[in-house]
Parts: sequence; structure tokens; C-alpha cells
Amino acid sequence: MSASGISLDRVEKTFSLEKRKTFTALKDVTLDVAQGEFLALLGPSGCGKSTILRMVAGLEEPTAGKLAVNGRGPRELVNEHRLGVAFQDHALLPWLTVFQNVSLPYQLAKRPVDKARIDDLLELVGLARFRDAFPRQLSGGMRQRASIARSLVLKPEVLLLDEPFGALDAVTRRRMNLELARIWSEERTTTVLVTHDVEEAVFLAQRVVVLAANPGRIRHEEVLSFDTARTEGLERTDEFHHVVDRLTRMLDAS
Amino acid sequence: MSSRGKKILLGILGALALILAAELIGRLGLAGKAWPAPSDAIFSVLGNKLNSALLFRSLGATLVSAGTGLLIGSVAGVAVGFLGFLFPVLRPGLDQTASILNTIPLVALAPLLITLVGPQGMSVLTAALGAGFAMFVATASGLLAVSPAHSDFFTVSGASRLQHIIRLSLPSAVPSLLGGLTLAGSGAVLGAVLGEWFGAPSGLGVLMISSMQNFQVKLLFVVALTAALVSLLAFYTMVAIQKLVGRRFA
Amino acid sequence: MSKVLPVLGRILARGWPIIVLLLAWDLVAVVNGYTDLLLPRPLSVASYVSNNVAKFAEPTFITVALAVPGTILGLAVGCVLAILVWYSSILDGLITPTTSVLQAVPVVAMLPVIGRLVGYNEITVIVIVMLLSFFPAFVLVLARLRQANGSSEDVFRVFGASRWTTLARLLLPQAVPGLLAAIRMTAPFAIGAVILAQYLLSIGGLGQLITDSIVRSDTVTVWAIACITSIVSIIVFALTKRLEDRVAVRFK
Repeated sequence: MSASGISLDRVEKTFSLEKRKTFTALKDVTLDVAQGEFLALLGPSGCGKSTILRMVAGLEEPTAGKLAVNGRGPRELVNEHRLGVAFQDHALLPWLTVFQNVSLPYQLAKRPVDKARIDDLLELVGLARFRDAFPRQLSGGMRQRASIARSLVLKPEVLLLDEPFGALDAVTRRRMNLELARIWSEERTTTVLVTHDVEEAVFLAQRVVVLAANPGRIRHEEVLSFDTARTEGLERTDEFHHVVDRLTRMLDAS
Repeated sequence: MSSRGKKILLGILGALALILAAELIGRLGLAGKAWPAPSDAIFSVLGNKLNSALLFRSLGATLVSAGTGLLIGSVAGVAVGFLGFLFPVLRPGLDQTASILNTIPLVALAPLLITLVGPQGMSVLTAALGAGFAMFVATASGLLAVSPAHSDFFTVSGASRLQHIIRLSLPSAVPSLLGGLTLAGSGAVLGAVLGEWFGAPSGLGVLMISSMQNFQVKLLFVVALTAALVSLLAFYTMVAIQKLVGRRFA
Repeated sequence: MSKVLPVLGRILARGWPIIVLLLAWDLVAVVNGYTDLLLPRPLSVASYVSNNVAKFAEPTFITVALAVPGTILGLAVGCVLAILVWYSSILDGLITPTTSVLQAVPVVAMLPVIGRLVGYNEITVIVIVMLLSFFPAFVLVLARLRQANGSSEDVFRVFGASRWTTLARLLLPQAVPGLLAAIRMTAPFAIGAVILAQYLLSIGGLGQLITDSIVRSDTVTVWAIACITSIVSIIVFALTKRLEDRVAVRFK
């Protein structure tokens, strides 16, 4: 077990249903994410990929096994405000402007608001012109970008992305992936992305872990080292297509 | 014509038809002597110095009772709702009591309430009860109306319980509170008028009863109209506030 | 014993304020040394009622019996108007804005006007209850009739069903929960409205018994009526709530 990064050691998660029945969401999951790595968890719905993320975020406790983030429990990371999360639901507060939403993590951490940092981030995600707009005035893609800016604002040690673009249309989604790749290449935060979109996973991550359902378990790991940089051209290479095809077949079979 | 314009026109026509019908019933005496023509009733009451002075004094008294009751009831309703939020053990009991208190007819509570505050205080108290129930329900449900995604975000951001309450639960409750206010406003007016039936010295409710008993049909009609208008005004003021403020929080 | 405890716990969790209320009532009476004339203790009210069942049974029956026809009439008028407004867009335009405005008018506060108009008799009581239950039925039933149920309505149209067939087979069943909600919202308050009318106009039932007892300074009776009315209203509330929960599930 390494002291830096995220490590899951034979983690199991069961939920109790009504009348003493239980449901095993995850069984025997062992996984390490190195510091500065971008890992994608890929799997069909119900494979427990979001549960892994929620456990790393300290929102759920594993039923069995060990889970550590930088050698400590996830709650410690949360209490020190060193975790960034962006959910499928953007979870922006409707009564705050974009700027206020992005500065909220500072206030929750009781730290002085670094206005320059926020403006830089808004510039990075292309929302500089919308810093004083309310979430309801933004498009779906812009809200997700604001949400990602918010998750990055405190320079977290670990970034968790739970299908952040899941609710967007295919075209917007592709554009957002390009931007995320660009943002990540600047910040280089340890990142875990949960998705059921193979292309998204292959395009963004350095390593893809494919999960199978019933019970949720690891089925395959794939380290991706493309020659091309992660920009628009990558998606058109044969290499990219081979990997996507292989992983898609694997998903279909599970 | 646009469908919106047509809608407005039809709405105005409908309202005019209602007013015209009320006027005709009065003019032709279709409903007997107890239904005066509204125009006649309004002119004769407002034209009579004694009656119009009485009307405005009563209106003032009712407005004061309703306003005071609205304030007290809202503060109390929000406070009790907040109490149930802070101490979840109390919640089932509070919910149950609130719905029971709301179900129990005012007449049944009247002897108890009069012993507590005397006939003078009744209208403020009943107004407060009317407003308080609406605000309690709005607060209790509003504070729990936090979206799970927002709650998760606060948890993973390491927010304290106090930050959770102040920065998330309270603002999330605003739409529900505003919705409660629209009910509380007209509820307070109704409560004030009904409370005045139990021996208050003055107010629209008192004037209503005395004009009913003295066959002052025109005065009775105008007083009832005034009470209805005040209630409508209270309701639509709150709706306007809701629209103005609520947009930001929805 | 192991089964009694959880039940007791549930009763305590939901009913603690009532127990507190009863204790407070008793405490106020005892501490101040009030006689039955000023503030009777809960137990003496209970024993008075059980010793004079006949005195309360008839007025209670009259009050409840008056609440029923008014409620039914109001619900019926509300439903019919809702269907008419749903059917005709002109009627909709004429009526709906006015009703939505009138909805905020305190119906019960109009009691004196209706009393003067209809007379100091039972019809006034029925009219007031009718007005009280009419608005919720109209609004809730209309909302359910209009609730867009795209695909099922399309299916009916494809089969060439007329608007009335669609109404009878699809929309009216769909409107049942709205009607049930209206019953739950109005029936408990109908009792209160009846008593208020009886009190104000002195026309029999529990309402007049309150007036008479206040005049005779018969405090125990007044408190007994308060308790009886509360219990009856709560029973009506519980019954209508149960009806709604049981039946509404089938129409959702």
C-alpha cells in the first residue's frame, strides 16, 4: 500500500435492503491510483463505479477492506479541504453567482478568498465573461465548467469526477472533454473519473479500469500511452479506435 | 389576436359579468332585501360620514390585528419549524400536533384561547395561529428541501454543521418560506376577522356581526367586501414578493 | 412486553405534545386552584361527558349530519365546473381567472352575509360548507384533468375516441386523486364551519350549545364541546387521509 495517492485494498460494499436482504455493490476491489495519475473507472450502470468514488470522497464507508487516500482515511482529506469533486448534477447553488459559487470552497474552508485564483480558473474554463451570472442563466455545459472550476479552486490533492458531462449532449460533451484534458494538463491533480462512455475514458485517462456488475468487481486494467497528445487529433488515430473497440467489446460481454 | 391577449380579454369579461350579475341581482331585488346593489351599497356607506368613519376605524383595527398576528405567527411558526429541524426527535410529534391544531375548529379552541388572552387578544392570537401554521409547515418542509447533490458537495468540501445550516439549509428553504407567506398573509386576515367574532371591541369582524344583527344590509355588504379585498391584497402582495425574491432561490 | 414497548415508543414520539398539552392544562387548573367554573380539569370534563352522553350525542349528530350534504354538494359543483372548464376554452377563459382571484377570499368570514341572505337556518350552514369545499375540488380536479398525459391521450386519439370517451375512460379516473385530496382538505374543516355558523346564528347543534353554555357559565360543557369537536375533527381528518392513501394508489 503506497503512502501517496489513493489505495483500495480488498474493498467490499454491501447495502442492506428491506427485510434483511442485502445487495453487494462491490466485491474484493483492489486498486491503486498513483499521485498525479488520471484514472478512469469504466463500467455499465450498476457496477458500483460511483460507489467507489463516493467511498473515496468519504460519503460512504466500505463494509470490508481498507481504503486510504495519501495514507490516511478519506474524511481527513475532506476535513482539511483537500478534495475536489464534480458530480453529474452540477450542484451549483442557484442563489449565488458563478464567482460566488466558485469562491464557496474558500468560505467553507474558512480561508481568505483568492480572487485572482478564481478569475484565473474562470478564464481557464472559459467563463470569465459570466463571472456575475447566476447558474440558471448558463447553458448546461457552462454550468458543468463552473462546477469543475469550483472543484479545482483550492488546488485539491485529489480530484473526483462523477460523470461530470453525463447530462450533456454528445457534441457539447466532446468539447468539454477537450477542455478538461487541457485543464488537467495544467493542474496535474490526482484524478479519478467515473464514466460509462468508453471514448471519454480513453481520451482523458492514463489508465482505464473496466468494472463488471453483479457484484461490482474489476474486470480489466488498461494502461494507455498514446504517442499523440490528448487533443483533437487523438480521436482520429487508429490506435485510439483499436483501444475503444476492444474496451467496448469487453463492456458488451460483461 | 394573440392567445395571451384573448385570455386577458376573456378574464376581464368574466370578472365584469360577475360584477354585473351582482349589480343586477341587487337592482332587480332577485335575492330579496339582503342583497343590495353593490354600487348603491358602496356609495351610500362611503357617502355617510358616520358609517365611513366606522368602516375605516374597523379596517384599521383589523389590519393591526392581522399584521401583528402575521408577525408573531410567522416568527413562532418559523422558530418551531427550526426547532424540529435542529432536534429531529421532536419532529414527528411537532408535525402531528401542527396538523391536529390545524384540524381543530377555532370555535373549539375559543374558550381555551379566551382564558389565555381575553377577548381583546383573540383576534391577534387567531391571526397568529392562522399564519403560524402555514409558516411552520413551510419551514419544516423547506429546511428539508436540500437537494442531495448540494448536501454531498457540502460534505465533501468539509463544511461544518453550522455552515451546512446557514449556507445551504436556510437559503434552500427560502422558496418554501415564500410559498408559506402567501398562505400566511390571507390566513392572518381570516384569523383576525374570525377572532373578532369572540368579543373584540372593534374591527371588521365586529362591524360585520353588528350590521348583520341590525339589518344594516348595505354596511354588512361593504364590510364583507372590504374584508375580501384586504385578504386578496394580502395574498397578492405576498405573491409579488414571492416572484421578486423567489426567482433567485428556485 | 417486547411488543408493547415499540408501540408505546411510537405513540410517545408522535403524541408527546398532546400529553404535554393535557398535563399543562391540568397543571394550570391545579396550581391556580381554579374551580370547575373557571377552568375544569381534564378528568372532570371526561367524567362529565361520560355521565351526560345524551346531552352531547344529539347536538354532535346534528353538527356532523349538516357537514355531510354541504361537503358533497360543494365537491359535486366543483367537479362539474372543472369538467365544463376543461371542455370549453371559452368558459375556461371566463371563469378561471375569477375563481383564482376569489380563492383568496375568506369564505368563512362571509358567514354573516350569507346568514343575512339565506336566513338564520340550516340552509345557510349547508351553503357555507358548500362554498368552503367547492374551491379545492374545482382547482384540484381541474389540475388533474389537465395533467399532460401525452402518450395515453395519443393512444385514445389514434383509436378515434371522442373527447367525452377520453374524459370518461382516461381523465376522470386520473382526476380521482385530486377529488380525494379535496375531500381530505375540506371535510375536517366542514365540521368547524358548521359549528361556527351554529354559534354565530344560534341555530342548534354543538355551536348553539356553546352559546347557551357560555350564557349559563357552564364552563365544563364548553370545555367538553371543545374536546368532542377536536376529537371528531381529528377522526374525520384521519379517515379522509386514510381514504386518500388507500384509493389514490390505484389511480396514480
